Amino acid sequence: MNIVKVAYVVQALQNEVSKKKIVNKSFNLILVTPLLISFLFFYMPLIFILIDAVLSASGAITLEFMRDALVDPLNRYFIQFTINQAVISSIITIIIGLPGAYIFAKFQFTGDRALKTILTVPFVLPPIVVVLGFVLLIGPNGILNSFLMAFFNLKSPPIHLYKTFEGIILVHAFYNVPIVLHLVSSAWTKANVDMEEVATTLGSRKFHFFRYVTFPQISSAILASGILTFLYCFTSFAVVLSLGGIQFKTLEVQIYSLFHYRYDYHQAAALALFQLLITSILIILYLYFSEPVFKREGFKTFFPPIWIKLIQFLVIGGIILFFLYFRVNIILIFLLGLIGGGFWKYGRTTPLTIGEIRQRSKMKLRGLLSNEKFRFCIIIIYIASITIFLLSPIVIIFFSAFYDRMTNKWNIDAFFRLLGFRFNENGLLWIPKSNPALGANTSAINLIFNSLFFALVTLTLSAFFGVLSIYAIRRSEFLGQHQVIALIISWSFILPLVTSSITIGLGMLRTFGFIRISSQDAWIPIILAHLIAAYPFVSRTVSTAYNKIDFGLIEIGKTLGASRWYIFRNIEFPIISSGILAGATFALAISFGEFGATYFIARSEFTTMTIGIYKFLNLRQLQNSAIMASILILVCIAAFLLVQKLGEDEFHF
Amino acid sequence: MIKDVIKPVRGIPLKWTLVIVVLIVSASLIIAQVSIASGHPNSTHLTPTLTIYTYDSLINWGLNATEANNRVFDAFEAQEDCIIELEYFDDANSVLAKAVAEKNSPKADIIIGIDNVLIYEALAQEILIPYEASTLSDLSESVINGLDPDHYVTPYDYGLIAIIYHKHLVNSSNVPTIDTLKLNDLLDPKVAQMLVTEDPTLSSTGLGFLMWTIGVYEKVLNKDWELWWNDTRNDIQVEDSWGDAFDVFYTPAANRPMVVSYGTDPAYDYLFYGEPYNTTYIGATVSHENDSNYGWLQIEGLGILKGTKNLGLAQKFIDWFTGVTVQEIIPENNWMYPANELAKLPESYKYAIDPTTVTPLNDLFTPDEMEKSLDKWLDTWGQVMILGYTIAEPTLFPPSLFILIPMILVVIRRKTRRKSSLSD
Repeated sequence: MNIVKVAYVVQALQNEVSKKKIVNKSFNLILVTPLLISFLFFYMPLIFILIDAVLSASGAITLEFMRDALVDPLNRYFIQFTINQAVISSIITIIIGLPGAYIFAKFQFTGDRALKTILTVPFVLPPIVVVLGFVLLIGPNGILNSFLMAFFNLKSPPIHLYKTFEGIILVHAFYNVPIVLHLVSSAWTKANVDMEEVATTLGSRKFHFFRYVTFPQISSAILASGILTFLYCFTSFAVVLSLGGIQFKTLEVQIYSLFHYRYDYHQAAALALFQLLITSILIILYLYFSEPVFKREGFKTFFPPIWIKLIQFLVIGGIILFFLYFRVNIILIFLLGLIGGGFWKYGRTTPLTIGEIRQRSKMKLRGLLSNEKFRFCIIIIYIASITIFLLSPIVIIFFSAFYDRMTNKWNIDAFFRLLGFRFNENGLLWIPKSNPALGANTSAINLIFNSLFFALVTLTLSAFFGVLSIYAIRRSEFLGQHQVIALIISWSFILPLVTSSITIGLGMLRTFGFIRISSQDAWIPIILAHLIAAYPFVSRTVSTAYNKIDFGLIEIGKTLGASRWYIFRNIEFPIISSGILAGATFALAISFGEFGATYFIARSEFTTMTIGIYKFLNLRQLQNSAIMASILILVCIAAFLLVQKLGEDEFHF
Repeated sequence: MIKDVIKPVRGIPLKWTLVIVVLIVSASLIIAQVSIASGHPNSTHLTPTLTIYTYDSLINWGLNATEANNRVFDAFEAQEDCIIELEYFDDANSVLAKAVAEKNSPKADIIIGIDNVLIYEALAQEILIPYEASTLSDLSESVINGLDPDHYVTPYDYGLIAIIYHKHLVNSSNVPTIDTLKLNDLLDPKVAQMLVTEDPTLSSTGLGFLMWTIGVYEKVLNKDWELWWNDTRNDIQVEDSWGDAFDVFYTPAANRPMVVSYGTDPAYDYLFYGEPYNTTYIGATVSHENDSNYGWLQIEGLGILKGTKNLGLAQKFIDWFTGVTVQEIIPENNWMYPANELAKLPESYKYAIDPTTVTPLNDLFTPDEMEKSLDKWLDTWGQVMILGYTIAEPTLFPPSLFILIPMILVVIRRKTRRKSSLSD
């Protein structure tokens, strides 16, 4: 649950711009208030970061900190690494994911939908859990390494996960392959089939056909998933923090260590601002490429054509400049240029439509067995290997929760011991004992309670704010109609997603450091950070549900004299309730999985489960870590399945 | 009438939603209560609680770590009728970072593990309050002056940073000068590839080693210390914490038989493995430059955090921790020399490097210099380790930018060509 879900919410923005609205003529203050409050929650921390970044001690505005931060060779190296690994991760993710997207789009086999759902699971897990899975699987004492060492009689572990570039890339790819599978396969399924038949009839060669017919239709999905993967890897924190060592740090990790170990608030803020700038630009690019609707309605009304030319030029030139300044690998630039050029030339043509788009009946995988044995084998091998790749780290966590790798024995007792259960002559006792690894006064059961508490409060608040803000936008003339206001509101959905968790944490800590919050109330910034992360998702699901409302019915209600509240209660609410529930479940899962911001802010009274996993992992208490992680995985999977069940159409990225 | 016309289309009725909301809210309130209650299981007003931040290896390396901890902490609890809550961090640096982060509303009363380098940051951040321990007269004067003459931090132990090695893997056959090791000898890639050290930005031991190299090169040999790190940066392994480095040292597969640790480690080895045979399997060395021994002395101390609610108790704890009872536990459990001169040294310490035989490099730096340059040294270290020493002054526009010109030309040409083809 992270920035990658941007895609999910970005559509909400497009909805806001393009969908018709029922307009309330009066300016309704009650509806605006919650919106203003949420603005304040989110923009206050950002403003504090801005202040730290551009205001010198004497109070004058200065660009000195920004300049220093960007000229510093070490920072430049880390930015370069961040970009390099993000680019390579996204390219590799797409390469791994594309065949899968093809298979899921073109073939039918028993359990294909179930398999697709199962393969999405890694994506809904908190990153720290994924790291744990990989440490258990291919870490220095991991299962695979011990097996290989025993089998080939090696002296040292053959696979290096810690402190290697490949390790980080591998984990990132694992995390993001599901996005490619989902986005591209759904675009591929929807690709215009009539053209395919026409082309086949006209004797088109396979490659030609792909290049001129299929590729233009799926190119935006590929690009979109590429940008999303890039965004995730660019703001990756937990993965690089645990695996990177001194050599590899993303901007997030560098901001964290600047703040926490060097006490250099200005540089940290400057870097955070810089990162925010890049992610914002990326999201604009994403919007520009993903949906023509927004481009048409959003950009063209604001800017005359010459501006668009200028902006295009500035963006392309800026990107090249930027890459060169941070000495991003020259081969990567060319590779990217090649890919970008390819998309530019062949990708963004308008989708071809002849007649009605018809869902093509998919090929039966079983049919392939009798005709083309080779292709069948390849497909089966691919499916099997990607399933193993995506599921083994998760399975291994459950295994390790009950198996002690030190003594090579099943150890179910540890599970209960960690949760505070003791067996003695009086039977089962529940005595939670504080664990110095987690913090003073803190036992494992506290973490679970803390996580639950944060999750439930986040759920309630985000549902409340989400519904109110959507309702306000849809029903108020002032908010819904004015173009500039509409744009600001759209950005209030997008900015929280673009803002990395460390940036939120940094802003919160600065804000509340300024207000001087007492230690008992330290949960407030954590809740707010979770709220910022979760609330856009609720807005998005509610907004989608809102589109289903039959506005005629409301008009009828009004004509018949029903009160406003009555209409809301009986017409609007029943329809949006499934959206609220789906969004609330999202919020629950996001709050449970949040790591970066909580880790940045947290005091030990308010340690959550993700932080517990990280601390155990750091102290090499792998079994305890796995126990926590398996509980977390179960929660996340349950939430994910519930969201799927509640609104099948709502969970399309 | 209207009721008949307008019916809920589908979804969940409002009634049920309200029930769910009420359930969720009440559940979260209950959980908050339980969470707080179970978080402070013993927090009655009668027994005061002393919260201590420290690093996770404190008094954890003896033959019976649990018993030693009981003798230090539980005994104090019994004596003063209070509760001690320990919170462990990876390293002393993390302890300080946490204390600084909580500066405005401290949770801990005492931090243990501030050493003679971290102290500058601790003093600059103004997180401590001074206290003159009642045991002060018993503590070694040079140790007190080496750490903090103003008594913000009271020393409890000290020891030399040393390079320790497995005797059967590192000996005169592969490292001929091992008995009189110079830092220059480590420039040999074969030797450097044996060594594992700690990240000085994250670990106090690693910081000690960094100061050792700076001291030897800048003050004794008058050379650039950066060059040493630059030459060894690809060969030395750097771990995040002392514990990680020690794990690597004791993992045969890692093939790193030398680690930056403490001069008392041979004593540790003697107690654990060598006692029956009256020998040790690991050796330790400081650097032998210009025919005399130089080493970095690490002095660890504990201090009371500003804003503590248990000042009296915290002061008593410092007296207890620097008193003879605890000080005699420290040598064989924390593996450092006790700061209290009345504490007797155990037999195993005949194998440790005696700090009196080594010239401490600490004395070559003035406090002023340390305070001013520490950040710069750490920055430089990071740059040298990751980027190498020869960093050209960064230019805003690297020459490779000229590659832009043909690219822009191509774009412009494409634009005009497209336009002309359109107008055709």
